Amino acid sequence: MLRITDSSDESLTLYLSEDYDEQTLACIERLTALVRRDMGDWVTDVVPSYCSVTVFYDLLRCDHSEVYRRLEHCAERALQEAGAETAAPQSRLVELPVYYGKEVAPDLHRVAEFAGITPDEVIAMHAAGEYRVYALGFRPGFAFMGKTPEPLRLPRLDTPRPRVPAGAVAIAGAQAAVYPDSCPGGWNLIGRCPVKLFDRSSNPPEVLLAVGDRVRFVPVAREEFEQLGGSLDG
Amino acid sequence: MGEFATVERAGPMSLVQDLGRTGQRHLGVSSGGSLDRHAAGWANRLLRNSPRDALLEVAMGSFALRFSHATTFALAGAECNWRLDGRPVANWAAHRADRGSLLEAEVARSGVRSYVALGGGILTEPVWGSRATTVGERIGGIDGRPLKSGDRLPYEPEAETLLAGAPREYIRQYGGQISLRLVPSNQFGLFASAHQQTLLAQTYRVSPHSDRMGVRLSGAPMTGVPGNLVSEAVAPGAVQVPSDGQPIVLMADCQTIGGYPKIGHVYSVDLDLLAQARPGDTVTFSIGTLDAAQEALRQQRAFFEGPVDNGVEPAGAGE
Repeated sequence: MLRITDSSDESLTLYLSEDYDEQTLACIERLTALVRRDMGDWVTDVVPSYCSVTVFYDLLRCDHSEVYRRLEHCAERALQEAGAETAAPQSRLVELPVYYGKEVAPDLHRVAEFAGITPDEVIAMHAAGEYRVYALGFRPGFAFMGKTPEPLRLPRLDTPRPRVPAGAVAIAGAQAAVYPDSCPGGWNLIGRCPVKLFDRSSNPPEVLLAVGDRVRFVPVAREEFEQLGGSLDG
Repeated sequence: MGEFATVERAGPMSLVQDLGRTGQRHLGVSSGGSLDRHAAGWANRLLRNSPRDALLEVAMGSFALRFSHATTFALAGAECNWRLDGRPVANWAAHRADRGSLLEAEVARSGVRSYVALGGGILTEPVWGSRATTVGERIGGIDGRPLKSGDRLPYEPEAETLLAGAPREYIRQYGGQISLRLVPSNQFGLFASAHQQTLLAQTYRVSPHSDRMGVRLSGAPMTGVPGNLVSEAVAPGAVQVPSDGQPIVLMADCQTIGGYPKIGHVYSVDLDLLAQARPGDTVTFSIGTLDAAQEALRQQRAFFEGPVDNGVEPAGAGE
């Protein structure tokens, strides 16, 4: 299912599927790489997300129909490559240490109650799976990961917290994330990660995670969390 | 470089802005930048600055700035009775300020955002290719926050500057009904024809819960709108309709991705008018085309990025 639509005066969005899964993600990774490589320097931004890739272009330097044609061409190639099962680009594995102590996990008990298991079992389940990064957004460096194991899919809070601390490890529905920065947020907090996901002081901005990355959460004790630079501040 | 303009009264929301950031949306960094590109473009143009130079976006006036060194400056946008050392100075015009002089704005009379450009631009430290302040992301300007009194804005005074006023046909009066042209795209087809009719037939009011991320409109709600979708990239201009059926027009500081269904996108050039809308102002929608939207934006950008000599009158001629 290929569909292209204008999503602003200066962008086109191409949809690859209706729902997201690993196969769509692989195709989105290929397409994003092709667009960046082949479409021309009048492309100003390429934003992959769960089921789509959006291309922003400089309309003083190119024509909408030209961008449309080239994007369609890139998508056909990405689909062909996926169909030919040529070696998929090897996705990076990122291991994120997580301290699951109750002082940094205000929602762990609610998740456990929801799932009908113990908090320790929630931790084991959260840390057992491998997650994929499907999109970045909401805040700089905020990576939307999935999919959280079925029993843990508690919906987000009705009323968001006015402040979620940097490093908070969170789940909501099928999604998982680590807050790169302190900000308001409505997801369920079950731990804290000491690794910096986004460095606002670097130039260009340094963001640890990218769409397509594989992520594992690795439980660590409080001492190790603090040695790695983690902060317990609320 | 030792020249500074010092903020003596910051007003409710004064920000260093420019044309915003490109190339980092995939990291979740929004574009940001001046909300009213027409007024900001004119403030820079009147000084022969580059359209990319940083300037001040002063929301609702109540602002005062003292120059440490003689400079040129230009004003455009919302009306707020600008005075230089107590004497009225014209909006949509460029002026010269002596060393130590004080530029002051009263509370804005009409419109919301005034632009103050300095000859050569404001030279705060760029962050990722832009000086634009995105308050939600705490990036750009001064520590990514609104200006406060005592802030010092570096500039380098430029001697060679054209002093001029904007020709009458470019000067905008704000207030009254805003008409937005909508390109039906994105998920337009997912909305029932009743929703489309509701959007096009009624007069909306600008909600007080509007900001640089989005202008919220209130009116008779569209009932039973499509539910949330899988998140995808969003851009300024997109018209989101969340489950309460009240449209939100995304503005420069909007998030980079979102999951609300979108009924289309508003012409970029029309966002300049929306940027000046106050709570309670009225908004209507009409159907436009992508070609017309792009042509209008192309003309605006070509005008501000093109040579300055056309379309700028000598000082005083427009007053």
